[in-house]
Amino acid sequence: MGRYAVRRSLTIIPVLLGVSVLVFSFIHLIPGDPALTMLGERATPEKVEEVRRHLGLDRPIPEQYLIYLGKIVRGDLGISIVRGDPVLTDLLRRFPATVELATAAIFLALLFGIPIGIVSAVWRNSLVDSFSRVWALAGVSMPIFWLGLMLAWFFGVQLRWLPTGFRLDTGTAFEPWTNFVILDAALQGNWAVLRDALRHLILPAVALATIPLAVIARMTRASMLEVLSQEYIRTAEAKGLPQAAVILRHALRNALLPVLTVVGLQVGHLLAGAILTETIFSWPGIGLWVYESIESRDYAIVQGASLFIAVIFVVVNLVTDVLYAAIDPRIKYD
Amino acid sequence: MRHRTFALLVSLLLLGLADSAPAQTFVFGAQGEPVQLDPAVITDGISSRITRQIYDSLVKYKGATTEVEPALAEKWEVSADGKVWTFHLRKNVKFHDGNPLDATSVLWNFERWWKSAHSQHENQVKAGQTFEYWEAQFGGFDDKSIVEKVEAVGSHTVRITLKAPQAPFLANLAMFVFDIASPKAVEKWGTEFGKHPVGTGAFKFVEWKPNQEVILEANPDYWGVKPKVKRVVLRNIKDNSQRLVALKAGEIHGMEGLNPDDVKVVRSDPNLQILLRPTNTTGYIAFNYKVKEFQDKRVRLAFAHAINKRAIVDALYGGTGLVASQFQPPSLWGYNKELKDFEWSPAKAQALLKQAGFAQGLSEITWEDGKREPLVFWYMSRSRPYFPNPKEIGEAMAADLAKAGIKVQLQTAEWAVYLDKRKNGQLPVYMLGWTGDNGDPDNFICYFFCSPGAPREGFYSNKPLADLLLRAQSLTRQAERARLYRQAEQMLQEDVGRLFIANNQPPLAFSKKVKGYVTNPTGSEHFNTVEVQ
Amino acid sequence: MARVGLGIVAAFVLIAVLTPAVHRYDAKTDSNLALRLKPPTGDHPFGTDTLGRDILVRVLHGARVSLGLGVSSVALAAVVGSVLGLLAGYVGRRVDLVVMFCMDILLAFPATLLAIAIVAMIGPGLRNSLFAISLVSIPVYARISRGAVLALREREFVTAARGLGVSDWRLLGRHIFPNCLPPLIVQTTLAIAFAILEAAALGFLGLGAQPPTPEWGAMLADSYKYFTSGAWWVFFFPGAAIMLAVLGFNLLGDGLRDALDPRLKQ
Repeated sequence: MGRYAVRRSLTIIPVLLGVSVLVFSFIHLIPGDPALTMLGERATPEKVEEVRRHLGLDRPIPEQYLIYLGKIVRGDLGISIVRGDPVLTDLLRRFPATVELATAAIFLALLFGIPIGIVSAVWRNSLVDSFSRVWALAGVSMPIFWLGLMLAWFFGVQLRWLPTGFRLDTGTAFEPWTNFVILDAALQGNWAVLRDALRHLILPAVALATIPLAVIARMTRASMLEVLSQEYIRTAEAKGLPQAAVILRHALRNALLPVLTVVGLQVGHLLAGAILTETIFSWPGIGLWVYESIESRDYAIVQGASLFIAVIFVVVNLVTDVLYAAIDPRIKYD
Repeated sequence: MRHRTFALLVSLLLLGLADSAPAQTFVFGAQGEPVQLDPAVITDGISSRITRQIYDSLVKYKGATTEVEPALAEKWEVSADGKVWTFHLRKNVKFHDGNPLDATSVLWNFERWWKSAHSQHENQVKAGQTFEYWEAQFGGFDDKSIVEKVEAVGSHTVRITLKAPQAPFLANLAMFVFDIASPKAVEKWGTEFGKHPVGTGAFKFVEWKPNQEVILEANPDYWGVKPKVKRVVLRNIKDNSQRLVALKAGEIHGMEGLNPDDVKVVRSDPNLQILLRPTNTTGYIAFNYKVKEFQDKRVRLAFAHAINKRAIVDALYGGTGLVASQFQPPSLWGYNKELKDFEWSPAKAQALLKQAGFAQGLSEITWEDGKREPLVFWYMSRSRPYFPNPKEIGEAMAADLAKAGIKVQLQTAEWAVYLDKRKNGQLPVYMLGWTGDNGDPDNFICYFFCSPGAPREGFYSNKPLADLLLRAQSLTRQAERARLYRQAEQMLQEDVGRLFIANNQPPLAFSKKVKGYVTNPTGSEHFNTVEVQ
Repeated sequence: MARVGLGIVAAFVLIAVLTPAVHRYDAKTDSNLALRLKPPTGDHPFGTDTLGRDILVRVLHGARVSLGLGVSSVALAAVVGSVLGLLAGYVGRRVDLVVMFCMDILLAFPATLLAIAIVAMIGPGLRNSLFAISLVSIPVYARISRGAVLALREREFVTAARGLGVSDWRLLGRHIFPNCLPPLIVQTTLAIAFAILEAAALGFLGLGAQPPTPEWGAMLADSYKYFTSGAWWVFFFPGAAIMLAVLGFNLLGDGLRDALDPRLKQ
């Protein structure tokens, strides 16, 4: 097991190097002189020269890459062109908001996706099944930015039940410790803020959960069906064990394994989907930040955030694989 | 224990917002993050909204007008030739750091703005903090400037000598960029001063939470009208709709940057009110005169007759816009009331195009160097007061043009790139506008038309117009100047040099609890008169 | 359900093909400011947008833009991806290593993020969106076709053909490729669904179609700020069109998978 984990971990090194090459090449995708494009109106020739030097654009490309690699290894993702702050600092400051949103979304997706999948599989081809299958497919087909808008309009503007933006009512006097607002509010015992934070979380989390929920429901159904058709389940049923017990105790445990992989994959997509959801709900995480940086052509941020998300995606997939191997007895580790 | 105290504080603060007793805090919804808080080097409204609360200038705009009244200078004299200005400073005024405001500190501020060798000028420029407005208003740095010398002639008297009279001199000094900063504080923080602002203003700087808010507190020793609230919070809410949602929810008390279509939403809300800033802003379409087609006046005239300004203003300005017939907005004293606007007539436009040799319509252009390309109409990527919905207005104008046989393609670029292309004269025909800084017609019209053939003005060259404007600048009698500005507008219209589309009275929205907010055409608004009930 | 999907897809394809044929649309002249932001009525069943344009007309014409973008980007990706996969699988060794490593790197990014980042860098526009969406769709094709080749390579008819002296290229084109087709077709249907969604997302972020092109995502972006003023129809219909079109292709893809490729059936 340990050896498998180590070997699997080693495989991500070339992938991460490749990722860094691709992200590095982003800057060369910009048409025209990147330094000039970045500086825009206020560009004095000296400033352009300075930025070119700073970006290392005056050196041969392989050398530029090595410098870039050296920097990112040391945690230097560059400097925001508009604000002049280090990209990594801002990234880490905003990341908790995105993690909070993504966690809530995954939680909702599991909470509803798994039961829907089970019900669908157990009463296969029933009305419930057809309904939930169509529903799941509709979820996969959902433009979440549209769903977010509709939710914000209906629950926020029409019914005025829920807030449509930010993590807290603006002006709530609250000093977060870790920037995970919900966690902080709970730790500080500040129930008013906790309630406020949860209310703000609902709409964006629902919007962001839509696709993973649908994917998880489909996956649960499929793998449940496979497990239910297997010998030991039929044996258990034949032995006269109650159906509920069979399903929950025996089938579900095995059926959930493939679901785990899907959850791992969804994490990366959640981070990408956050760009769309956070934009709609003014959620101050990295997604909104990327959107704003695209608008202001702050390429350093687009680059830095892409690298950051890709690395997380790769690492989460690695962890999922290792976990899967640890749980699934069928995988051999040597 | 600490937590409980904290929770108590929170609830007290919340109560403070909810209670009907006079609130101690005025929360204003800002449109974004300030660049920094050193008034001398900023150019944007978000930052200057904050610096105007922290600092004072020698003279200020009076109430809702652009007339000038005393501020840090309680009175002044000017010599008969209009070149020597003597300012008598208010006594017993202190900067927030306790240092006194006197002639030396004012002198120090002028030298920082003006002299490129001043240590605190040099290091800021090196850090990319340039004194753009000084250059624009006073002709440049060092010897290039219209300012000849500045002297402290007594402990509280400052004398400024100009090389030539400058009509808008006082109006210039009232601009936010010429707010007086504490020399000690600037020297202490150097290029970081913009994060630690110290002035003499009605509010002191407390804290800047990045991407959230800037907090100020009342200055109890303020020399002028004492602030009515204890605190001012300028909260950064970038999105216009979200800012309105926050206003409706009572999280902020006031805001600017309202989507035009939300004006009626605010008007119909019993808890909210709209205040209009007097118009001081004009949106226009400019031609590039290196494009052969646009060198033909008939083509420009065809554009003028094709665009239905009335419909655009009625539909897309939320009821706060005005149709513009000339560059100066009607609030300026150089405005020409006699001028008749072009009539909207697609038929006339078509006829003109035909006369100019484009019977089949116009969809391609030829640059002077012979390059041919499709006719691209550039629309702005960012909302400004003069074009609050630039994309929609651009699309509407493109539709009007198409109906008259002018087929344009719409294109935009990120704001800085857009301005850059405009500055270099690379846009064939584009939208832009101007918001006045100081209420003087010179500031409105001379910047654009005093340098004939400038690339930034699309190489438009009208020498007689430029001469006239420069003459108006050197005169001091307002009636005489006004006559020249009226004539200038007429010349501009006769030549169809540029198409003026609309003026706007930018709307601000407030809770009805807010009293005493005075809007000013320059956007310089002081919060010391604001009350929250 | 596959039939429903086929129906939806057919309807959208018909709309995309027929609308421009029966109704000449000039996006440049189609606005009437006097009629702006009118709720749905008999004259304008989907209402009008902020420039007084009929939303139904724009949604119908948008079908061509969105479907066109979806289909062409997937076509490009399918050709490039399958060729790469076939080569990797057939030639093997170093080619295989290099190609699949590149694909792994593309797959190391969430597809939406990569597409957004690329267009953010090279600049907005339909052509750039097409390129970006295409690029992120390549790896799936490469993997599928490589997998199929590997599975087929050792099968009898291939060995036999090789024994008869059939050239490698001919073998690849004549025998192996046709056998990879079923999974590729299934994948293509699903990939089109994904591409339409991506295109709409790019349009929504202002990176896709530029005005006044009637593209669904861009229509949503234009109307997004009206959610406070209560004009729901300006964003409801374009979004519903995106969802329905994507759903159609997904339903069809699912159905095709069941029919063509029982092994992939879940």
